[in-house]
Amino acid sequence: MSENEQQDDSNPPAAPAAVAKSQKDIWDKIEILSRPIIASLTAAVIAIIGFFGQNTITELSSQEQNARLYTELLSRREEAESSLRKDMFKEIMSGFFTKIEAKGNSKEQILEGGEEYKGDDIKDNLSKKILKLEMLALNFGDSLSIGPLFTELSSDIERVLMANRNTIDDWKTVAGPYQKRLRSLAKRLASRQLATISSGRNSSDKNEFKISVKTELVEVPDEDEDSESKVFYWMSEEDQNVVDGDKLKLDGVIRFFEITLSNADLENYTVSVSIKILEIPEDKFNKKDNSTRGPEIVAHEDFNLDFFNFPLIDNTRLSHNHRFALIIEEFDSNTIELKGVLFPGVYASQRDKPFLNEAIDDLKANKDKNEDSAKAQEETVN
Amino acid sequence: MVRILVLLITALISHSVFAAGLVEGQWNGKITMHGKKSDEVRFRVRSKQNDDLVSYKVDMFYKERPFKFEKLTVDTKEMKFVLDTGVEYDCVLSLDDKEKKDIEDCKNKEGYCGKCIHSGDGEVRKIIINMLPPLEAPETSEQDDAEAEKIMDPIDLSL
Repeated sequence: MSENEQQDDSNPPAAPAAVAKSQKDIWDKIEILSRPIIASLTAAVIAIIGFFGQNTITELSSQEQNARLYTELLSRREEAESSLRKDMFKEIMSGFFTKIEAKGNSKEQILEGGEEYKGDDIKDNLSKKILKLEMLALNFGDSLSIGPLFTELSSDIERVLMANRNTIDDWKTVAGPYQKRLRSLAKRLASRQLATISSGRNSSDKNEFKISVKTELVEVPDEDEDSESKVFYWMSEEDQNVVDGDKLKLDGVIRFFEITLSNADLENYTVSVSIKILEIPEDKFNKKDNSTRGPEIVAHEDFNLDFFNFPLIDNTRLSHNHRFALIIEEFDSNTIELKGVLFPGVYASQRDKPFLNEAIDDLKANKDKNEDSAKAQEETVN
Repeated sequence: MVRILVLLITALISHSVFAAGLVEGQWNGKITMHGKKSDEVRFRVRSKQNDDLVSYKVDMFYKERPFKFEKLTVDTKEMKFVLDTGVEYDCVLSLDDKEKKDIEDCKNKEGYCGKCIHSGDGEVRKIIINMLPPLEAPETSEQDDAEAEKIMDPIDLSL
């Protein structure tokens, strides 16, 4: 009994140990199994994070590098273009002021020593000069006051052909096509500049007008004609309804124009212009001023208008940093068509910078505008 | 008898004045410069009545350049003038078919046709000009005024 009891006594403590041993084994197994899994998962996660992190970093750096490269390319391209334009400008300008000379243009030389020089040399030279002007006009026409070069070349054509009339038959008929080419180029440049102005125009503001007149009504009067009879007067309509309305204005400023045309010269394609620009005083426009004051003259100019007047360059400076330009659209023996354009100073050429007071006024106006829009937003929110 | 004679003479004179007249407006035609092929050309004819005399002004537009007919005289059958193209030419254009027959380039041509000659410097240069009157009827002064008014009206007030 006692032995059995002893046996019984000794057996029971062994059973929980075996159970515990068998339970521990499962956990152990799990633990043993999970360790490498966790380790490999951790490694995988680290690897994935590393991979994606690396990728992101690479991508970011590549983006940054691309941006830097792009900026560098742009600035280099700009530099190269500026340098090219500078060289081109120098080259064309230096070539432009060389004299057109025949190798031997006197009649005696030709009669004595054969033809050293032919009229074709002069024609070639003129063509090349016009080509150079084309290059200048199309590349620098928006920033350079190029009108004088056109005028100079136009008179050069006449002068050179006339000086070589012994070798160039009927030189006046030869000059015609060269002058036409110059005028066509000028028209092309002017219409390109007009397109630039129109592209940035607020569609609600009409800011141009056309004048058409029969050429013979304003032609240079003959000796037996009264000069005053050959003057054409045009003025924009001063209609109070228009004044009260909001159609005929630029940035809220209403202007009227009085234009007088005379002395239209068909040989040189010029017309004398006298222009008065009238403006409605700002107080009256804002209806703070109830007086009967009408529009006031703010500019009065007399000038000769030809095809070589370009809107971005040859314009009249007005208040509120506005500009007014008048150009010839058509000019022939039948009619003269002019176009007047009013546009903001930001479209004027780069050399035409606003005055300091205009810049300050602009800043103030912008500040007021921002404050007004902020107030309006607040009111909408409330 | 005397009255009939006076009437006849008056009628003849008025007929010749009409015949001598150049129609105002745009004429077209051709010009053949010395040693060159013929080319299209445009003319602008204007007239002015001074008492009993009618004076004419003709401008030729060739290669976009105006050339004035200087010292222009117009009579029943022909017109004479000086043309300066850089070289001065003396020109005679005729309406008469007999005269035109003598010039090769003017045979069977309508309107005024003739030649301009420059014979200075030992070289003879020749230009042939043919002037054709406007196809449409000349505008009356009323029509002219109306059109002028139309053109003079401000086309667009856009400022």
